[in-house]
Amino acid sequence: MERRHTVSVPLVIVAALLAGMATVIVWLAFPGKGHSTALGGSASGTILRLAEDSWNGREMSTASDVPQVFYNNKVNTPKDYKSLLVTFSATSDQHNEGRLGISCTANGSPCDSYVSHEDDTLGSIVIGYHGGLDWHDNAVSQSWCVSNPKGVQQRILLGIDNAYGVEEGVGDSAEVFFEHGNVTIDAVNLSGCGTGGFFFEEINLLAPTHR
Amino acid sequence: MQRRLTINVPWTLAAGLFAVLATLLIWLSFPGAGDSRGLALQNGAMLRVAQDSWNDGQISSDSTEPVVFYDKKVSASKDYKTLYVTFTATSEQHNGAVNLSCWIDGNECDSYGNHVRLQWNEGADWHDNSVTQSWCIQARKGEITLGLDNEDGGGEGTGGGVAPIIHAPTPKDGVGGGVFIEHATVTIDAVNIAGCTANHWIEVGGELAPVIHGH
Repeated sequence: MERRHTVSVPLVIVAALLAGMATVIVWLAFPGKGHSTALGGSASGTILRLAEDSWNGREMSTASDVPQVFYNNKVNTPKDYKSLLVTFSATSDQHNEGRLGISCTANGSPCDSYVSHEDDTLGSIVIGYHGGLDWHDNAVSQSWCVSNPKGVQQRILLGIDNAYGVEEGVGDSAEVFFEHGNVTIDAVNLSGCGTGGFFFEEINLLAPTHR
Repeated sequence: MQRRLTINVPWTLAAGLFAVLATLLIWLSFPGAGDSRGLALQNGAMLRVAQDSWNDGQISSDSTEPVVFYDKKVSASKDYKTLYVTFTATSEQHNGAVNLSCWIDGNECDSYGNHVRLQWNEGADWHDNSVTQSWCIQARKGEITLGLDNEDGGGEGTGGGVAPIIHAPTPKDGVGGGVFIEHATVTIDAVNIAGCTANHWIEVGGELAPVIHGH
């Protein structure tokens, strides 16, 4: 004889149970939606690619020491993603004394706290210089970690400038170029962008220390 | 008068319903544990376990012994099979070459061995040029250590297997014959893929010609 169990429950509880079951089914059927947006709470370290854009047209170039915007993207992140990692890669050449500077801003502010000694432009990083030798082409790459603890919308701008022009005048001959550019923007559920595992300190030249 | 619903269900069905509800409750309470360990992880899934930036001046070395500048213990759940370490920065050399070394728990990160030369400009003091390098490690956890050394441009290197325990003497910022890195970023990703092998790589030998299907 089959064992049966009779449950007598209020209707509201039955409705809640059914709603819960429906949520599970939706979650199982659409896992990406489920854990990244519908219910929040993605796992720590989860990566979400927000942009993956390529430039395969003619060369981007400038002789100006003022960053010229070449990438403009407004990205939205789910609120549990706390940082963005912006990565630029390309191949580059510099004419004469040109110094390739790439700058990054997020909602109008520099993407990180780095200050270059080679480029007075706030937020710019020199990533290509070959002493006046016009060598075509050399790979360049750089990443910026953008702290975004509240997961707000960010407008990411990237600019190109010629850092040589900062102190020594700008001439058409000191032009910088890149081509075959790629930009990726990843949202990461990490409170990253701190020094984390980095450490460095000047120590006495005569007394190396052993950790 | 309260409305009530009476359901007459088999015992096994009732037990099953309660099990599903319990699973849902645990998943909601521990979302990280839920989607990364509780259920099978998709092949190729990635988890970033470190994303660190150095924006405070230069890191430098004029030693042929690696100067450790990054040290971090990372761990991913057993679903993940490899770690992928990526370093990017911009660099200069006052004579010498920028070399990077990578260890996991004191062992070299891959079979290439330490160090990897990233930049050498025949002694030209060019400020600055980007450098980047990645290491694929067949492990899901461990202590990752990165070191910087300066190999004389014409030298053959210091060889592999140097234990990452030395803070070597370093020159003053921007002075001397050292090598320098700045605006550095390190990311470490755990990846659910049986990678880090030479699969799909082939020895150079054949011409790369477009393959036209149907001909």
